[in-house]
This record gives sequence, C-alpha cells and structure tokens, in this order.
Amino acid sequence: MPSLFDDDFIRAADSLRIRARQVPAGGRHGEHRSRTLGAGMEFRDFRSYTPGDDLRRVDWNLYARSGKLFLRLFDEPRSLPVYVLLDNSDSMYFETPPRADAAKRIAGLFAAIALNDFDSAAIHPFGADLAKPLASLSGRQNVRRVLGFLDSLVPSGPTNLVKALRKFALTPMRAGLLLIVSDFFEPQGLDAVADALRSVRHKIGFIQLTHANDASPVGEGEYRMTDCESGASVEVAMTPAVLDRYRRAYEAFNRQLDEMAGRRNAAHLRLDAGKPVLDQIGELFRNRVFVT
Amino acid sequence: MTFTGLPGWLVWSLVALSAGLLAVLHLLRIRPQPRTVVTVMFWRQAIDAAPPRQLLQRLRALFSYVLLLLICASLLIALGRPEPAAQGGDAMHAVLIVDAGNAMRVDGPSNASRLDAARESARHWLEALSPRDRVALLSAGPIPRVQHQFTEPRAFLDRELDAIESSPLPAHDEGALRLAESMLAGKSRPRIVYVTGHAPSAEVTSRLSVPLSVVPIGAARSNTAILSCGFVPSPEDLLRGRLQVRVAYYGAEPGEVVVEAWRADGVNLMTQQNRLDNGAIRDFVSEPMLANGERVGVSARLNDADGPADRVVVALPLRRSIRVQIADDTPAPIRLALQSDPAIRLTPDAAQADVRVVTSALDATGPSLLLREGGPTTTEGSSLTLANLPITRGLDLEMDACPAGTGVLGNADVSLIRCGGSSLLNFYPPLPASSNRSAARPPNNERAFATIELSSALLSGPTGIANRPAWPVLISRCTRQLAGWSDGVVSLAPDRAADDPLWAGDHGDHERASVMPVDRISADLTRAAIATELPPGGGIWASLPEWFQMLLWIGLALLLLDAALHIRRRVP
Repeated sequence: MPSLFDDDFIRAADSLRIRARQVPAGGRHGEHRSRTLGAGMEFRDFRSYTPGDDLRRVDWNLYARSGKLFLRLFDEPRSLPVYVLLDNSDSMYFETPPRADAAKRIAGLFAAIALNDFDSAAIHPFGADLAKPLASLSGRQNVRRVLGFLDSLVPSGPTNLVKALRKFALTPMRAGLLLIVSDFFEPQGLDAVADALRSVRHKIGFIQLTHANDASPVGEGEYRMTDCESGASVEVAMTPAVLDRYRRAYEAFNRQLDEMAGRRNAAHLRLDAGKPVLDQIGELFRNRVFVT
Repeated sequence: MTFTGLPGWLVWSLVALSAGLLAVLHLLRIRPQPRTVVTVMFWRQAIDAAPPRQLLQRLRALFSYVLLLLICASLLIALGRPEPAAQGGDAMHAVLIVDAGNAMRVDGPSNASRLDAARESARHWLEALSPRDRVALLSAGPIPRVQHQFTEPRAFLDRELDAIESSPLPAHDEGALRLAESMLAGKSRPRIVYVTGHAPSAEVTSRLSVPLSVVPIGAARSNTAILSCGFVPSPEDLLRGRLQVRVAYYGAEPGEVVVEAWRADGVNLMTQQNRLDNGAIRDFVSEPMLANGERVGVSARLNDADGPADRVVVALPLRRSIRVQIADDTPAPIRLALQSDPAIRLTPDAAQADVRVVTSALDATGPSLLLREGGPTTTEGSSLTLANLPITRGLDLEMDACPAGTGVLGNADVSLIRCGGSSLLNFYPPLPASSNRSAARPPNNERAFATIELSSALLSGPTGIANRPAWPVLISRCTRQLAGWSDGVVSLAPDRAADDPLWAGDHGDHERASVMPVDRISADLTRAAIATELPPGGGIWASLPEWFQMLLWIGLALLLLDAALHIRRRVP
C-alpha cells in the first residue's frame, strides 16, 4: 500500500513551525521561548550580580564602564511536546476517500513539524479505546518513523472519544499541545466530550475531518440509514423539510464544537477529507507558523 | 366470461399473477433504500424534530398501490375486452347498413355531408365490437348493395366504408333491411344496425325478425324545397299565364318561406313570403307573364339568412298564336268559331299551319280537324250526350230528343260516345296532355296525326248546335288540343337531373341544396322517436374519451418506469 506521505509532504513540513505563546515549565531544551530567562543564545536583559552567579556571564565591558557587576540574560529555549490524539475508528475508514487518510496526513504533518523543531511528538490512536501509541519521539531522524507508524494503522473499532480522552488525561506526560484529530461524531455527544476535556491539562487543538456530504446529503425518496459503526438504523424520507432539519442539526453540531474550542482557547480547523491537506492548512499556519 | 378469447380459469390465474407481480413491484418501490452512513446522529435529530407521518405515509403507499392496480386493470380491460358469456359464448353477427340515398348528401354544420358522418359513426361502432363478432356491410341506395360479406370487424373498415357513395335517388329502406335479414338467417346473435339520416317507416321495421338499431345521422334542420314548378295559363289568354311554384317546408317551428323568381337578365318576377307550418305544402303563384319560352330562375329559402335554399331554373312554355289552315269551303260555323278565338290565327298556308281543317283524311298531313261528310247520325228521338271530356266539359251541347240525322263527334280520350246506339268516332291517336305533335300509329294505320273528327251533320240540321254559344268554345278547344295546348297547369321540368332537391348541385345554376324533399319530411318529423341504442359487445375502453385513454397509457408507462428505477437501485 503506497504511503500517504511523499517527499513533497515531508519538505512542506520542513518549512512550517509551531510556536507556543506559553510553554509549560520543565521539559527539555527546545525551540520555544519560555518564561524562564536562561542560558540560551538570544540576549534578553541585564541583572545585577549576586554572589554565586556564574562569572562567565558577567558583562565585563559594562563593568569597565560602570564599575559594577552585571550579568547578561538570554532566553531559555524549551521543547513543546505535541500529542496527536488520532481518531482511528471504523467511521474514519468508511467513505471514499476515507477521512482516516486526511487525519493521518495532518497528524503526520504536525508530528514532523514538531520533530523538525526539536520538539517531541507522539501519536495516540483511538477507536473503541486508546490503542497502542507511538511514544514521544524527538529529532528529525524520527520523522519517517512517525509517518511509517501512521501508514500502518488499521481501523480499531467504533468511536469512543470520551473514553480515549479520559484515559489520555490520566496518562502522566509533560504538558504540551494535544491535537485531537477526529470527525467528532461521538455517539455520546459533544457534551460528554467537553466534560472529558476538563481533565485534560494540555493545550488543545481541534482538527475536524469533514466530508462534503456531511453538510448536504444527497438523495431522494425513502432511505434506511444505517450507522457504519453501531449498525443502528433509522428510516428517513428525504424530503426538503427533513433535509433542512438535518442541515440545521449539523450546523448546531459545528457551532457547539466551535464553542467548545473557544472555551478552551483552542485552535479549530475543519479539514475537508476529500481535498489535499496541505491546501487547507493556511488558516492554521500564518506566515508558516502555527501559533497556539 | 371471456378475455381475449381465453377461458375463465386462465384469465383469473393471470389476474392473480398480475396482481401479485404488481404487489411485488409496489413493495419494491415503496421500500426504503438502504444506505450506510458515517453517523445517524443528525438524521435522528432531523426526524425527531418532525411530526410523526407514518400513518400518512402508509396510507399514501396503499393509495399508490390501489391506483396502480386500477390503471393496470383499466388497460387489461381495454386490451382484453372481457365479455360475459352469452348464448354459450356465440359470436354476434351484425349487418351494418349505411344509408347511401340522396338525403345523405345534405351538408352538416361542419360542411361534411351526412354520409361522411355516417361513415364515422359506422367506424366508431365497429371499433366497439369484440374481435369474435362478425359484421357484413351494406349500402342502402335505391338498390341495396353488399359492400362486404361477414368478416372480422377491424378487417375492412376504411376502404369499404370510403367506397360507399350516395345516390341521387332515395334509399330503399325496405330492400336493404330485407336483404340484411336474409343474410342473417341461421347466424348466431343476429342484429341489424342502420346508420341513416332518417327513420325507416314503422311498417317496414315492424316486419323484421331481427333486432334493429337505428343510428341517426344529422340533426334536423328547418328547410324548404321546391317540389314542382308549373305554368298556369290564363283562361282569357293562353299566351299568358302565371308561374306556380309548389314549395314544402319542414321545421320544428313554423317558418317564413320566401319564394323568388327572376328572369335571366335579373329582373325580378316574383317575391313572396308565407308562413308555413311543419310539413305544409303551398303554391306560390306569380303575376301573369308571357309564355315566351324564356328561362326563369326560382328559389325557395327560409327567411333567416342561415337557412338552406333550394334553387331551380325552369323554361316557360313558348306559346304563340295557333295557325289554323282553312280552305275556302270551310263551313262558316267552323270558320266563325275559329275566328272567335284570339289565340287562333287563320292562314291559307298549310305548310306553316299548326292545325288544318280538312274534309278528307288524306289531307291530314298534320294535326287536323276533320269534317267528315255524313258520319253516324242520331235516330229520331234519341238524346245527344257528350262525354265528360276536357274539351266538352261544361259546355251546353247536349240535347234531348235529337232529330234524326244529328251528327256526333268522338274523342279518343274516352272510348265511346254514344248517342242512340250509334257507333263511335275515334281520335287517332290519343292526345297527350302536353303539346305533342308526334303521331302514334293508328290501329288501322289510316291516320298518323292527331285528328278530331266532326260530322258535318253537326253543322246543319235542325239541332242548331252550331248556333249555340258553346259551339265556338268547343271548336276552340278542339283546335287548342290539336295544337298541343292545355288549359291546365303546364308542368315545368326543372333543369336538374332528378326531381329531388338533393341532387348534387353542379349543373348550371343549381346550388347544392340542403333540404329535404317532401317524401322525407314525414320521416324527419319522427326523428325524435328513433331508437339510439348501441349494439352490445362493446368494450369499456371504447366508452372512454381518447384523452383519458392516453392519460392511462402514460400513467402506466410512468409507473412501470418508476418501479424499474426502484428495482435498479436495489440491484447493484
């Protein structure tokens, strides 16, 4: 099976960056500016010498001029772990093209960006439950490993995002950026998802995978709609009135998802799974930087 | 019951199978199409927000099925034409008679003739028959004619019906009906259908042993017709006379009939208007005019502009003075009597004479008044009586107790004139009413011209008959009769081929008359009583309007297409 990730995709990831407005404390050295003033390469400020400070950081030119001892201060770069909670349920593989392809691509993109920026990246697929993840990796050399992992994923049962979130929240890991890549068609509803997100302490990003038919289903007459995961069915007469109510329900769903993202101050990207991923990420990456 | 000729059990089996097939098609059509979706979440919300419509949907589905059944049943009935078994299931034999008499030449409101309407009516009736029936076609003209022997109804329609042409003579109803009756002898379920513009007389139809259906063609219209034209000589002057036009009128209401006559140069000779009752016949008489042989146009029309008119052209008699050749020795009573008639002109020229007064049969080279010397005479005391002849009618010439030797005269219009047992003097030949100079062969081959013999004894003798006032009148009448003149109405033959106003109007000044001659007026009066039943055996489909038939076909085609599309969606 051909890979979802070609060389163009990998080159595109090279040119993109992730910038965090706020980097959690702790962690390894990375590329993100942290609040901590440290011994990085970028000068930031002076402060008075106090006994015990590293004399190598004293600005002797300033001492020569002022006769007083001052230390040079530099930014302390820290790493931003990127966790991708990837919807790998049966519904993601149902259509043509499957939403799972776009999900894997966007997950691979963010993972590659993170690894190129000396950040760590982890892939946590879920279906009925959290599946075996690809644990946090660092370094450019692991990009292909991540992409290969994504290529190898197979459907893992019906959607249970709520359960996945709750389990993920209990997993001890450094605070970072959690990207939830899913269609968000959680059978328990978005309220349950919002409730489960309360226990997640990472920064959140929603990447919603959609299809053109989601908003405007096509058809005439009487249908028996069957859920591809649960097998539940409902008989529908696709009249204009019913289609109108359907659209309103879908719009309400999207609004609720937007509100949920707004409350968490999270980025929210809707990707059309039928179109190239790279063409649609312009919203997230301004000047080729994703700011979270 | 029969259905396209198949037995009942098979028919019902096919019906059940068809209903079952339709039920399957219908169920396939109304069954929801299966579709697998990513999530039913939004569909549930869409339905939950809608009011429950299950019952309405079920009813609609049921109604759709019933409608499908009705449409298919209608089409099956149209194709199969089911019929209840009658008389062991025998086919009907019918003779279709189309009136081809001159009355069928009448134009209808759409300018098509009644015969055209009869053809269409016949076609319509034939199409309503079942394929098992057998029909023969007759045309009823003056002589009924078999157009086609018994055959399947749809086999021969157009060509044979189009071949029927109307005759200038009336249809012979009885002959046609008798012929049809004979053709149906021994046939199962016999029937006669007569498509006609009039009703056959009850006397004819009552004697039929086969059921008869009369299909009337054409609507009764008020109309008038010229039955005859005549020239009525003026008693005082036979060179002049009046034009008499005999007109008949037919109409539901009394109508105003206008009769006009005009000369060839357009000068109006007569315009008269009279109100006539239905079926009335009246003579319209003009002012006196010269009998100069000219052609006169005559028309009879209804006063309303839309009514049909009848128009003829007649030639007036050509009359001039009767030239009578007399001899010098013609007895004075004869001469004086001839001179007293203004219509008579004496001439010595025998070649130009119309009538000659001769004393010998050998001199009778034309119509002659023969003065016979001698001749039978009366015996003493006998009476002289004259037969009631046209030339003697009303004349006071009879005598009682004739003296002996009274001469007598005879007239061949009556075989004998007797006076005291004397023998007869005959005319040779009998004179026709109209002017006719042609001579018939006398029995004894002695005379070839019209001759009136007078005994010379009438001119002399003691009776004094020649002195009576009636004498010159008698002589004048004899002369006029010999000249071919008539005091009575001279019938003017209209310049048309038949004495029927329905004769096709392409001869000279005639128009195609849309009127009914008098011999049919009484039939038209009974039109309302004509039976209008249609023959049995017709299919339900034929009673449906054509536009409805087309709708049913379209409906069935759409339903089948819809069912096919629904099946196709379910079959990958």
